[in-house]
Amino acid sequence: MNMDADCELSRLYRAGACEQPPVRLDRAILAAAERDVAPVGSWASARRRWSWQAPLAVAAVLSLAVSLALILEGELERTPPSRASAPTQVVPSSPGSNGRTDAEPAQSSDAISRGGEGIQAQRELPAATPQPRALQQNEASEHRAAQRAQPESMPRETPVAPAKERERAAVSALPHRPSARVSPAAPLPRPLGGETQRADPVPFAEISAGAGKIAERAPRLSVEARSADSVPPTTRREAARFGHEPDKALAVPAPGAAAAVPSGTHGPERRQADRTEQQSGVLLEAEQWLREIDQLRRDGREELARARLDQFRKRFPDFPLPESLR
Amino acid sequence: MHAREDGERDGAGAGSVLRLRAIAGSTSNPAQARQPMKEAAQASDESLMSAYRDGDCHAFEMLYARHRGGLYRFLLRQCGAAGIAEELFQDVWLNLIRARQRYSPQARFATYLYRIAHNRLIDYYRRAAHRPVLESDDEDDDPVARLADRSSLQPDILVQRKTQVERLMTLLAGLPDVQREAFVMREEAGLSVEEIAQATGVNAETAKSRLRYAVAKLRRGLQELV
Repeated sequence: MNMDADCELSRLYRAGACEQPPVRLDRAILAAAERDVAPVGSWASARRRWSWQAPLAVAAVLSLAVSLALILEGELERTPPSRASAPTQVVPSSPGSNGRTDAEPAQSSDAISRGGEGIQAQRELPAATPQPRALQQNEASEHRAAQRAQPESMPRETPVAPAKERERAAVSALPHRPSARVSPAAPLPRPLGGETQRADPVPFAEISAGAGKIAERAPRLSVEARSADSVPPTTRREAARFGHEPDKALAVPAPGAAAAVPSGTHGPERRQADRTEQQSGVLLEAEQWLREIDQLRRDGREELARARLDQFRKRFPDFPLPESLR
Repeated sequence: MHAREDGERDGAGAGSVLRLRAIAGSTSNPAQARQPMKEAAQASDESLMSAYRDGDCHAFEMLYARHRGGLYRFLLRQCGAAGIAEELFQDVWLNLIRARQRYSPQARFATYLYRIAHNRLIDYYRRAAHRPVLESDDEDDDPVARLADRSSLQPDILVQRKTQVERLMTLLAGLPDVQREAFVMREEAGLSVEEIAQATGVNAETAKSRLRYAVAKLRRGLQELV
């Protein structure tokens, strides 16, 4: 084979052979090669799948969440609100407490600070709060103010204070009520005793247990020691209306009875006077409570009156009830 | 080798690969891809095909850039129509892509590629009822004489063209299919006689005889023109 002739042929052929495949074929073949190289479960294909699966999943989760929230909201609207007000309506306050609930500290303190007006305000409270104690504390503090002239040897005397401060002291002197849900069988915080602090109220459980004892002890007090002016006329009137004569049956001295004790007395006489004062405060509270229950009945609030009466019975089981409340 | 020179002539270097990537839309920054392309331009076809078999798509781009023109012209010469050549061209490359996992570098890549093209041509011939003259190795069959019998290739028209290239192409088109195939394989892919034999599925002597007849006829036809 002649090499020069072959070279000439090759040169001529290359000079004439200039055809090229079209560009669309290049694109198609290169794309096919790239597709064939890319694995089936590659990241790119996974990203393509995820590009529509992620929004779908998010939309499904959102729709489920919204529907669940709507269902729960409807359930809450259908649920009666009795559970929220149940503790204040049914559960009685524990003995020895002042009847305040944790949910109403502001209202109670406000009502107490307003003195006599607070009684009406506290009647509106759902809790079975023994407002008479607050009133009694007010009156007792006023009564003690009259004893400021007593000698310094009496350690239980409180210093002179303005009216508002005295009211605040009365409020702070009220024993803390643990909770409105405390069972009635809770242990009593303190025993009854005349030597307890003056600011502490007399425990009601002790009073309820020994209401009859009060009646027994009362006659031992001097009738002369009780001044007719010292007993509020309303107290006596209400007691008579309930078929109960405080001057005779219980013979508990009025709050002003202690003032009848001559100044400068010491020892057993003084303790007797203190005990008499506490007993009179208890009686006032019971009578005030009964008046409140009666007022509630007259106002047509039978359920609240019944609840308060139940509480009253638990606190003063031996206290004679009037005919209208039996 | 002819194939290497042809590849450079067809733009099979790094620049042509980048141009192909730009066509395919796979390269965003040509400057970043230029350095690996220079390294890949020095790699053999077999290593590039092995790399593509292992998942390197850029190796295939390099291979395609090297062989796209030669293979296309080979198919165009053999079937005679651009549309058919394009279809066959695409089929050959797709067959190569599908068979990449089975590729093992036992021979030159060009041999492997043109073997696929040869088989595809055989399929085309069978479907199109085109019966290639497979054993038309008769030296008495003068293609130049047959060219003169064709109305479209009358000597006066050939004289009008007055170019040797056109004459050569005309002579090449008049060659028997097997002889033309052997000649174009040598010219386009740079295959040797043994490789042509391997690609066409014949023994080396048959391939050598086909190639010798083809060159002799072309040379004779050109001498007649001169």
